Amino acid sequence: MDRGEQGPIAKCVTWMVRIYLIAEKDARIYFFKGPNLTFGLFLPLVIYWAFAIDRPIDTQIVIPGLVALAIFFGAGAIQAVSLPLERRTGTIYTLLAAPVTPSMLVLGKALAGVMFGLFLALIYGLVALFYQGTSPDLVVYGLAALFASFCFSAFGLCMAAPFRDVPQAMPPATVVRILLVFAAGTFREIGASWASWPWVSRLVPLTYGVSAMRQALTSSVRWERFMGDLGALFLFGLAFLGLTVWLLESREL
Amino acid sequence: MVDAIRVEGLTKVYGELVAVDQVGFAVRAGELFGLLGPNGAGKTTTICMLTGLTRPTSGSAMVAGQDVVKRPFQVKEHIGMLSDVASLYNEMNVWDNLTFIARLHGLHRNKRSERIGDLLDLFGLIDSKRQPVGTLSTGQKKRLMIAAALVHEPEVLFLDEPTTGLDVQSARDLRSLMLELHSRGVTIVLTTHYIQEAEQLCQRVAIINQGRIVTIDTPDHLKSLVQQECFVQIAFDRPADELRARLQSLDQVERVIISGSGARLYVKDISEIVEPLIQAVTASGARVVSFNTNQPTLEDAFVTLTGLHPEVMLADKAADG
Repeated sequence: MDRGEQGPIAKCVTWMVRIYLIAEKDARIYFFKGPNLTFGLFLPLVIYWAFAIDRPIDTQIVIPGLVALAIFFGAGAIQAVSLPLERRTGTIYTLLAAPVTPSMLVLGKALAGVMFGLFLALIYGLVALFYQGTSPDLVVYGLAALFASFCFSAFGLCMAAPFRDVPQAMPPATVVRILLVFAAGTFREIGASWASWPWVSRLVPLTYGVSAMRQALTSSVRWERFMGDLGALFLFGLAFLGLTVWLLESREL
Repeated sequence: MVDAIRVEGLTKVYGELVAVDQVGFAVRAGELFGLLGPNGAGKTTTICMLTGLTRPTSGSAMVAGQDVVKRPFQVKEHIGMLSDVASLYNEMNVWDNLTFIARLHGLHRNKRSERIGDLLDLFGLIDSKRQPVGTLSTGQKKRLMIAAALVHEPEVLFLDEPTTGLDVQSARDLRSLMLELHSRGVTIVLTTHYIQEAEQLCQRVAIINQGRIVTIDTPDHLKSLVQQECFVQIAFDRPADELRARLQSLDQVERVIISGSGARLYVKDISEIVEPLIQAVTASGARVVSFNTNQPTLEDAFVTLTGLHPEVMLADKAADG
């Protein structure tokens, strides 16, 4: 086989193809695994019903919260399944014996989470459309869903990185997410301006996802704030990815 | 001959534990080289460092012309690996697993199908190509893992305990496959705790214990290091006493013990005695009914060199599950 040195562009394309292959494989194997559907698709609905039961609901506040929540749980749930399971079964070592670096592995898995997040955004977006009756700006909604999926997928990876089995990884990831749901003001308005947000909320990436989704689904985009939300989601996402790579490398996978 | 692998002072430390300690050896291109040692000796850690899966604490290693410490990513393009710790995706079928690995290695679509078909033929898995990997037997999975390790035509193949957990027939089949791959010129590094396997397959063997290489040599030379009496046990179609004088007159024979129609001849080197012994018996008009030899095995050499009992290795592995 020809294994000559590649130029920088060819090398970059090869890397991206490998990242995509890992994401495609994860999508194929893990999207419809039981824990992924339970914690990704249905748990947000259960939390929503638990909150909404016997309570007057302002759909302008709650529906965007539900969509953000679905992406938050969904994009991260696949990571809590795929990463620990691959470490337990040893398939991760087959990947790493191929020309794949830990960074490429993490990016591939993050991309799978983004794909699942966007799939959920599509489903829950239709639900929002049905309940809320407003027509969202599709580009703004797409951007909000994309950045939220990226950030929450990376968060899911970071939460799963220390564990070597699904039953170990899933409970702490779920508990932490539920705590963050309330810190982020998912089902209530926590202030029109950033300055009025409690400091805890500002440290929670879900806050920015909810804020972006609320603007997208209620057609009330304030661009400065929206771009700020996307920027925060992106930076949080990068930090989580970096932390995941560090965690995996320092524990020798 | 060119070295496919050259290792110098390779060391891996986990906290207080020195898993691999200043290991050094070279493997020639096309050689079938064995790393033999008990469980926990450092074999798998050594393989993990040579395949870029684990970063060495210190030392250097070149594999297929690439520096393992500085260019682990490039090393992976030139090697294949079957490891005790790695596996394939049970949810995907045989063909799709190999296709996935081939695509990761950048094999072009046209060449990919042909290569995968050839490998499945070679490994006797072509009829199972649409079967999910999870439904294969352990032996079939091991063969598929080796096929996956070979899909990109690597220069060096690392096989970490390939026959562990296999039934007798599957282990025999796999050993035949290893010899077949070796005959095709693939450099193979085999780790095993089965002494007979190393003796049967490897051109040279490194005995490793407690993270250190004890010795490296051919199985035959390792056996010759063991000071043990060699003898030939031979039986005739008549009382052996009739041949006593002829047997004692042979230069290579040190001592003869006669018992009924049998004789035990103590010698220094068995290979030197076979021909003159047969000639002497034939000249006397007698017929040989049975012929057995006793000489040191690699197991004897292993015990002498490491001080370990060979069964300890198997017991360790069984306890590991």
